[in-house]
Amino acid sequence: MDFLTGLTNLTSWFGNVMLPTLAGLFFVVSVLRFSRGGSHQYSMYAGFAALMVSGLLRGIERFTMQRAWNDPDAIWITLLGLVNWSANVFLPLYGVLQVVMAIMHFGGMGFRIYPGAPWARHILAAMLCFGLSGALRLAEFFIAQGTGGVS
Amino acid sequence: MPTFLFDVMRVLLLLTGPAAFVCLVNAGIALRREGGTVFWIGGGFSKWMLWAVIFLGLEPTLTWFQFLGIPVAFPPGYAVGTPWLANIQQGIATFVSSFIVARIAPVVAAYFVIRAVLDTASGAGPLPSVLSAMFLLAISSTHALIDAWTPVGNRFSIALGLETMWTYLASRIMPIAAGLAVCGAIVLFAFNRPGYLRLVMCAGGFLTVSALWVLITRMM
Repeated sequence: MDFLTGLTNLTSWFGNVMLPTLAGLFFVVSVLRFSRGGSHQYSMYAGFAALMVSGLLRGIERFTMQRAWNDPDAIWITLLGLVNWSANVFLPLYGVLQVVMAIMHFGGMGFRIYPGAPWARHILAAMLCFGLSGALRLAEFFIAQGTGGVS
Repeated sequence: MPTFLFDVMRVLLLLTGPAAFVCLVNAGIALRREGGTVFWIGGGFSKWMLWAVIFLGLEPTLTWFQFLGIPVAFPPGYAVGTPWLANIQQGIATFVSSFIVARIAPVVAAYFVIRAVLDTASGAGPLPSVLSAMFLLAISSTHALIDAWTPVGNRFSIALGLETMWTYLASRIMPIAAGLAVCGAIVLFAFNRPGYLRLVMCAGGFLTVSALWVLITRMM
């Protein structure tokens, strides 16, 4: 028994066993909050993050490993990589999502079919309640498809 | 020099290993007291770890006296000639290895596991107690590591031990801690608690701690 092995196994167990399992719970909490009109985004995004904890760590490692360990510029390059990724990868994808949202709102989603209206919210919550396993599998599918990065 | 004095010196030098074990047990307990995931500078954990390194690097450090021109009469060989002194040394070594290391340290670690559950019940995280329990369960291998980091015959042995310990911490422990920090950030985010961005930045910091050290030395 040594400390490094224990710490490695603890991290691996928590990141690869417990968090993917808890992802389902985060989605359940998200659906429950959504059905009551509460803030549900945190739990939903946490569910996605819990499914891709290894990918998040690999991403941070990628940011930090762009220079040698003894290169003093590694700190700056790490921050530069994070800013570069946020501005040139994340924001364009987020922009696509905003375009989709704009089209949906233009089509009436927002006032004629308002998702915050009780009847629509409860119908959607019921659909999610009946199909949460499918939604979770869909999230896992999206994450598995995304291991190759954005193309 | 009389044989008896040589035997006393041999006994004292042979007891440095068991003393380092006791220091490591105290370090594990102090680690929990000081937070588990952090430790105080000049606090119990750093003090006991320093003493563990000093005990394991004591014999090579004594060669400083030879380097300064002061004759040091190291006892030849490792065998203690005086039977009752040998019995005392053997008894203390057996007590430390069979009682403290093999029995007491795992029991204290088990209590820390209970404390981890109680910490969770009281609203705090279980990680500090879990890490302290792991440290206590691993003191045998930690002892072996520090022993290997304090080379025999090098008068800088203590400094080398501390340097190698820093390198081990920065290059082996910290990258794993980065993974744990990402997990913690996700949990904090899930419950809409503040601090998840701090943990993400910590993960980046854990992975670049060596570069940070080089950066600071270049700034000087």
